[in-house]
Amino acid sequence: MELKKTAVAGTMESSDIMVTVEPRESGGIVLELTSSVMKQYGRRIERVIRETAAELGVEHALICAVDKGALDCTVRARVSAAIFRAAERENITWEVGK
Amino acid sequence: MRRIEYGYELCAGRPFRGQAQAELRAFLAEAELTYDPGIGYSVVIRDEAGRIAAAASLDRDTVKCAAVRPDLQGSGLMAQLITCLRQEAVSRGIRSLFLYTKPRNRRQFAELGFYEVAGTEEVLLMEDRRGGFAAWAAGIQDIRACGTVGCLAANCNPMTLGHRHLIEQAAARCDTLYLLVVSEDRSAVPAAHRRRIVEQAAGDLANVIVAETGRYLISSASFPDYFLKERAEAVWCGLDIAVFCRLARILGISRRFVGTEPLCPVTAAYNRAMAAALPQAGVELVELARLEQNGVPISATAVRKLIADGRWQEIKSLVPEAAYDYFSEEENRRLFLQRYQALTVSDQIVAQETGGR
Amino acid sequence: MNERRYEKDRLRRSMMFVPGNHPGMIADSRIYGADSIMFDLEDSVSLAEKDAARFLVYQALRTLDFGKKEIVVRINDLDSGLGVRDLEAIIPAGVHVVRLPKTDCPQDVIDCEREIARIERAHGIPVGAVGMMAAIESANGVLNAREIACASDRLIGIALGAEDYVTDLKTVRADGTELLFARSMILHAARSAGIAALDTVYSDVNNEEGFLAEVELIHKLGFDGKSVINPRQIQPLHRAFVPGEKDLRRAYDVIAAIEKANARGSGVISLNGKMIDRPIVIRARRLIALAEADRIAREE
Repeated sequence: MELKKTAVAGTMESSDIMVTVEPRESGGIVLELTSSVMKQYGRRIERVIRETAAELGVEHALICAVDKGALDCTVRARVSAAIFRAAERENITWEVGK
Repeated sequence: MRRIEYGYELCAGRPFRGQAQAELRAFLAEAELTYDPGIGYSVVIRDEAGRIAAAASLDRDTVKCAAVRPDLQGSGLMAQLITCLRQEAVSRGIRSLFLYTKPRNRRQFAELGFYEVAGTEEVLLMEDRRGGFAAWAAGIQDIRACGTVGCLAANCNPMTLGHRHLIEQAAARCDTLYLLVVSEDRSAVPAAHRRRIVEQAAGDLANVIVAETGRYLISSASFPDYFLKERAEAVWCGLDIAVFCRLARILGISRRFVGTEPLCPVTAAYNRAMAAALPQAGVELVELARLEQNGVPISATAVRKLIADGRWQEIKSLVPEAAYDYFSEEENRRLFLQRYQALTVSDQIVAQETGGR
Repeated sequence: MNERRYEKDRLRRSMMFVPGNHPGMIADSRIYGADSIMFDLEDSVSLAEKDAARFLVYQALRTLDFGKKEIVVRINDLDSGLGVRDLEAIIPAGVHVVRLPKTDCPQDVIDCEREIARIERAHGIPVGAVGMMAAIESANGVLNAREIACASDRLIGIALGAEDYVTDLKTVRADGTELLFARSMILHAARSAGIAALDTVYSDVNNEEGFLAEVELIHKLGFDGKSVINPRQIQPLHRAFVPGEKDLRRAYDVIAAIEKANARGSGVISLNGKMIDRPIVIRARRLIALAEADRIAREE
């Protein structure tokens, strides 16, 4: 998916994560993560963010995330929302739950 | 942690005016902060009784005047406010944020995704990009730099023969000179045009590397003038010097050049502060005498006045050829006049303070 | 992860509103013991956040384990253009029941049902797997309540949305008198269609006395349950709906007497010298079912 502008989704309230996605021309996905549970879950959150970006076909972007203890599903939701906003796209492919 | 549930209300102002602004001012005064006139957007959270519980504001890309009432600290109110400011910034096309705060709030804002750029005992400059400063410094760094590395910063609004003289003198006193043109676009000559003129007019000096001050040095981001006014100048001088020292370490700068300042008391004070602080960072401050014509230093202010008064031909003896050629173009003069008139009085003062001599 | 098909009849004493763009409240919603959880994409979500809330509810439905709780999502109305997009996300994600807001006429239900069926088909979900409930929030809706309640087999119930309704009537929420007609209409329509009647929220969360009085009123009227906005309201609400010890014992006695009479082949049934007629038996069965459902819900 092609990113057109910088976009943000989520909040910095407890259990949420604020994700800012900035388009880049190259350099892959650069991730800057701040988390209130960095030691225990930092790697896991990073993995979920990268997976979500990859699933949505984003190759190059700066992703800044400030996590306040979000569940995986929240991380996915916020990253997806920020990416779709950055791509100015609304035609989302929803899939049947596992 | 006290959870804020019901009865709290968040309101935004673009910016607040009248009674709402007066209330915000009073709230900030309690927190030893002063409302900054540059604020364009504010958010406040009010408690059940309608009293301000927390507030934060945005001056373009800089978060200012952020405070939470002491009895409510640690309740997540600042996170809500910063969330709003970030959303607003993104909607205005601003990519990254700066933030001023007191050093004791370092941790609180680190948890909200801000990273330290530089700080003094009184004030801390933070940004929301971990590698922001380092990336900027890396962009300036030039592989040709060698030997004794010097630095000169100037607004060049527009470049005069006085600037040319300073650059020549500085370049002669080191092996490599980083010439940083002020990026802040608050001057009558647009930043990109100022830089282009400098590049043309200093292009013959082989050891001069032209770059920009970016958002970090001598920018509106380094004007924490919401702190109590009588301390303001010393505070921002100190911070700007701290930012410069960090850059100097990365670029290996050991000499900072400035022009002597017989006229402007603010710049003179800034130079004095640098003379005191730079040696501690292993940087020598070198003051260079300004070029005079008919017994007075050549001044960019005088050049601007001539152009504004329609006497642009008279600048020929005061500016390098590249600048004269620039103003020979009618379109450039028209742009200059538009911007010159549009700048508010306070902006002109800022422009002068930031090296527009 | 969650059971796909909705249940037509189940315990629905409390339906807890959870703002759809609030991850903390979504995660916590599982622990408060509400019979149904209702994620809201409508009034609690600002226009600028509709997309983000949709992503959040979609991911929560796909990932979180809500046990045997009923999952309802309140969508935006179809006229806003947002409602269909909400459906497109939440149906594949596994919602049990779609709550349609601002239902004024049976056509609103039919239109929504058509969209639901289209999306079910597109995803290979059996058509009819997703249930519906209609919220009635206007004078027109109240007057059309019976037709609305009968507009689709998918409907599990109809609900009163009082805030919009009183505004439409040119009045405000007060002691309940202002809602008497609407509640009576909705209750009759629901009973006529054989579906649940669900009451509106009580929004003054700090007024426990007022809340309990309203709960008693709607329980007496015959409602099956009520929407709640604060977890604190759930337990008092459930207590009001759970049969008392004495009533329950009497209900068991009634059923025992019936079984005894049936065994004897006797036509006339009496208990402690009093005649037991059909309504008494039905009420006794309901009471026992309610107590049983409550026991199961509490074991969850």
